Amino acid sequence: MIIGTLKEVKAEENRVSMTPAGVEVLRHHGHRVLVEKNAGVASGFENEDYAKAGAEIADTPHEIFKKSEMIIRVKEPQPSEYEFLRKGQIYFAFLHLAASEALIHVLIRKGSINIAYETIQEKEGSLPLLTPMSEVAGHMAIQEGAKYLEMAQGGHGVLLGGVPGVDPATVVIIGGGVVGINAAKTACGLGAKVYVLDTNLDRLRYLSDVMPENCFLLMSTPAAIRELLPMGDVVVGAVLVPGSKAPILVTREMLKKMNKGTVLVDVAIDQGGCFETSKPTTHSHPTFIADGMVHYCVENMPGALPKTSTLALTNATLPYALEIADKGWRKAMKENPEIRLGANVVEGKVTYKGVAEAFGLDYTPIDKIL
Amino acid sequence: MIVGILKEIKEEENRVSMTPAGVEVMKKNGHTVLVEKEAGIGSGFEDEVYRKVGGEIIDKPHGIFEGAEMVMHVKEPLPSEYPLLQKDQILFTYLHLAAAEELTKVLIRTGAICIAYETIQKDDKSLPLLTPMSEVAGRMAIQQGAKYLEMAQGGDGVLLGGVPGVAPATVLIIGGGVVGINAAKMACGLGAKVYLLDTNLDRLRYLSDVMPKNCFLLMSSPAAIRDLVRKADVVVGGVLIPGAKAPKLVTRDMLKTMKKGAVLVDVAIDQGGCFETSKPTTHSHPTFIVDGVVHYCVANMPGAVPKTSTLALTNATLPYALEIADKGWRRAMKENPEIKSGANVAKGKVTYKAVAEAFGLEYVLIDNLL
Repeated sequence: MIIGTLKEVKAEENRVSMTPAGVEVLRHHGHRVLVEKNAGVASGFENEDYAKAGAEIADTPHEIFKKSEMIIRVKEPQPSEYEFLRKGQIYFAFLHLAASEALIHVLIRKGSINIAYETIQEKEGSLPLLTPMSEVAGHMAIQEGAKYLEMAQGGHGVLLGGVPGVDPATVVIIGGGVVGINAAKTACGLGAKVYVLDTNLDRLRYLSDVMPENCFLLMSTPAAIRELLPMGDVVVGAVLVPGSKAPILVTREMLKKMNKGTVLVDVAIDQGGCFETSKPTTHSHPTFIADGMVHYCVENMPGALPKTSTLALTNATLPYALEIADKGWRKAMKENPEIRLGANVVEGKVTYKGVAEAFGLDYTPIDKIL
Repeated sequence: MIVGILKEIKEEENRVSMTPAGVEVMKKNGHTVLVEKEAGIGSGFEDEVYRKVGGEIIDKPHGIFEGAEMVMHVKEPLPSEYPLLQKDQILFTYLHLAAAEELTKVLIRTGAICIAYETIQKDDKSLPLLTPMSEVAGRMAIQQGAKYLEMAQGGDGVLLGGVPGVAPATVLIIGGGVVGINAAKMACGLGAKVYLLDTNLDRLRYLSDVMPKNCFLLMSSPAAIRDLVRKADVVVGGVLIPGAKAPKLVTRDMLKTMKKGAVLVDVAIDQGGCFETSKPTTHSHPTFIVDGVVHYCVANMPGAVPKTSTLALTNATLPYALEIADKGWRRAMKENPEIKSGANVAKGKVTYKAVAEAFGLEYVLIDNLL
């Protein structure tokens, strides 16, 4: 198959969807790989590295769209690229269609095969292409918390780990999933007093087995959250309800009882945020102060660390890309239910239920198309 | 004794030299404590809290200087306070006179008893009133490194701890003293690959006993530094030669061999810095870039986290302040050589050798004044 890797054009997006190591593997399987000029530069990969691994460097996105049977990308197509999308072409990327009606209609009209990273799902319900990004975001959440606790940043001037003789900060992490456990590991490693809240008792039991002694595990309830917030110096919102908006777990009312200068890090902001006062921010202007609390609500947190994030993401995407390239999308979907769940819009039909429902569109089960 | 606590007036200085808990101890020992209005606000202590434990709130610094036998500060007196200092009044604070000729001469003229936090020294040569601030700065150094590795901050976009499948960052810490061990603890806790360099083999042996497995201990040498700066994502300068300027351990030539977007954190900046390209910065503009390498060189790092730093500092200063208040400065110095080593300028004479030498002034042994 001919596979095209596009340069990302969205603001603050420095990742790339395929590394030279990935190109080498695809070449071994007999595929041709086109890589847009400078696609990997921000992630530390020069055109030369790709060429050495056997890729052909293409000057323009247009060329990639024209020649490739499968486009692989980190982000969804941007309006300037809509005209290039075409019938029968596979587009494999983060799509987040439930938040973008205009894009869905474009994809329906074009008749392309759109497979979304974020809806690929393993048997036990985990989302293997979201996991690596959640790991990065979880780690980062604590680093941001530590930084924005500084007084010059609006925080109330507490060192996360304390020092001998002085209490460490208290970190409250709401949600014990991938984001939560990674945030907790980081916060525990810095020596903070860490509370992780989750609603799943089995998950709490697992966390209790693997986390260090400075991690305290509590069943999440509105009462527990209300009680812990006034003690928190950093609060991390780490809840995800797959395919729907994040629930509001910290209300404006609750902020009134908290210490001024507490830092709220809303990792759920890409799903609308789990603090009532959250509003999306960017890496160049990451925080704002509302009701006396520092809010860090950067969308796409892992974009700040493209070297790590690109490797983490492509480690996870490559096996799927390879299977699709080897078998073609129909056979890959028939044989691998994980890839089948990635089908969002295929040959003009909406094949992912959550997306169809979000906009009142006709839903066509993917099996009818295969 | 009547003890006066001044509000800090230096920019970005939010610490305070005595907490309400300290005032309570002073009162129990029969002393009177005057506290300047709003002295504790930046550290989270309201006037009301001081009043409750028996502190008398004084409106203006004049009132403190006029009423107190011992004046406590965190930072050295600023020009607006010069005329307020009185003969025979004890001034107990950080002075850093070896770098301040004008202030030294002012203190000589006043005839005050000036005891410097930073030269108080124990039998084992350790500096008990610098240690807590070095602990804070060491821990903060890694938090800064993690933050400024973000691409929007000029960094090369690596997550310090990595994620499963992606290598963590490499952190090089030069100097295995208080700053170094605290930086190493945090970096190890975040999961980085940590190299810690020191020239003292016994210290390296101790560190090898107490540090986790991801901390690698090496004898420091120009060759070792030259080799490791090329691999490092974060370099922490944590060297201190008491009373002297920090040596330049990372030269401009070495900088050219480093990764673009690596982060240098110069904790030695208060002693002139240990990287050739360092220049002091502030918490509001903490970084600059030379040869593609991000430099974080904030003078007075612990000032950013005043709640923690105030507690850490006053935990260490209070016992000395109490001893001076209980015994008077003469007897305290006679009986406690640690306090004696704090005497910098007393009764118009320079009583600390390095300060006298720095400015070609007459040096008088403190014992001659006791």
